[in-house]
Amino acid sequence: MSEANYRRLTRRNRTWTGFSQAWLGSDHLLIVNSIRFVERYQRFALADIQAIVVSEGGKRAVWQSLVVLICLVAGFASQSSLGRGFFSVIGFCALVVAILDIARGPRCRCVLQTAVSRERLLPISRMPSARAFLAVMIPAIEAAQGNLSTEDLAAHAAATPQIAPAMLTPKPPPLDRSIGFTPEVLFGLLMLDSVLVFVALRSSVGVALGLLPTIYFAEFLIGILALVQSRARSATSLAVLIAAFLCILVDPFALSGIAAWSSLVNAFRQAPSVPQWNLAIGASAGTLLLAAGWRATMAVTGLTVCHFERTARAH
Amino acid sequence: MSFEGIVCSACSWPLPPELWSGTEGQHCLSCGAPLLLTVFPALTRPHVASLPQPVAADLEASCFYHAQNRAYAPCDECGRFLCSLCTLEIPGRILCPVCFGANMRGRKIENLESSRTMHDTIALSLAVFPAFMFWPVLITAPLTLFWIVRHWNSPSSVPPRTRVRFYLAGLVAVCEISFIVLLIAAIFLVRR
Repeated sequence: MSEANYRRLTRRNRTWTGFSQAWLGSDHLLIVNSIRFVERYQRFALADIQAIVVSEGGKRAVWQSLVVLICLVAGFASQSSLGRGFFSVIGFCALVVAILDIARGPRCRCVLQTAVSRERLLPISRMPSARAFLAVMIPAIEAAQGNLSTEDLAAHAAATPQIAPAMLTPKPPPLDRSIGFTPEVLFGLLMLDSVLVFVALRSSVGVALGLLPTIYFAEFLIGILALVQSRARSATSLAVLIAAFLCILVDPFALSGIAAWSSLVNAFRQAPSVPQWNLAIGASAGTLLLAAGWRATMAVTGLTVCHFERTARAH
Repeated sequence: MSFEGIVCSACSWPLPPELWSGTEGQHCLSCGAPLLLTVFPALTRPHVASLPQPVAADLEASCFYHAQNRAYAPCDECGRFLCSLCTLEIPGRILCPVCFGANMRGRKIENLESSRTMHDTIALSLAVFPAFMFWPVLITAPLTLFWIVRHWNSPSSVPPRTRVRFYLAGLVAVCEISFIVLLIAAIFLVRR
């Protein structure tokens, strides 16, 4: 592997921590994995490469479209201009990301195989870039190794144990993933928050200003964590979790938040220099019951579903 | 460790030889993912390991590290005779394990380097990010200039890479230092 001019094969596949990129040297393939301040290198001699396997998969655009849809619905349902603005911005960002994702082509996993290793090539993450990569790599590898004749391939295939579809051994049983307790924590928090929201909306502006932002932040944060860790959950508990998270998103902009916001604005309008923190929140009984009610209902439903899921798993 | 056959890159399921032809439109039998598979002659090449030959007569040169093995080649660095077991071939050179290790530690074999520090990125980060907090610039701006001078000739990335980050970092650091000097001068003049 002599030091030579490198030819760029792919663009930088960027991640949060750095990027990866493929370069073609005179007699080897160089994979650069960067973590910003340090670059790590992997070299594969062209003469040693046995196979390159690219498999298409992973359609994230579906999820992004779902986010756009949710934001549109929430934006239209929202009563305040603040809520409409918030969901419009989120929805627009999700729409742009979805369009870019579709424009970049389907995702893929590329694996390079040698006699002693199978390495995933991180720079090749999209089918169009994989095709462009193969278009350069195949002639380069064939120049180093020669062409593979059909006879050689057939002879090697005959020597390799045949794996007919019917003879494939059954897949091993799936690993029993730990489902964690984050959804239970979220539903427990919703139960507690139903009381706190009730107290906040029945008391003064000062108390509401102290309680509500903390409640919203905690619910949003634990909601995200619960959704991230819900892969091993059943469809029912996942559905309840998603419904609860949607309510968490909508509530500050359409229900409890709006009630507190108008009172807060009034407190500032009446005395801009010294706001009247003791001014009572003018939330209607319906708003009060709805804001506390959906939390209590979701909490009870969620905890019940989680309990039944755990019981079913135990059996 | 050696690998027999080819597996799907999505599910690691063995792919039967019928799929090795490389034509498009094939799918993995396990996960059903569309496949793009290319096989090369290295797959059919037999794995041959060269074993060291024993010394046949007393007059034959033997390996420095294995007296019972016949010498195969001398080390290009230290000149010691080596058997085929001890011979490490790198492009254009043959090294013994000791010289190879010494070269690796000293980063003399460029083609075998597995990592490099990007001093230009460090310099640029050192110049730019502390500027958001203002006061750390008093330390980091001169430090950036020192870093640039110290590592100007240090090896950069293995693939081609320009020195634009060094130039930018230097420019930002000089601007920061000029601003600080002007600020101090202004404070001094106002107090007088």
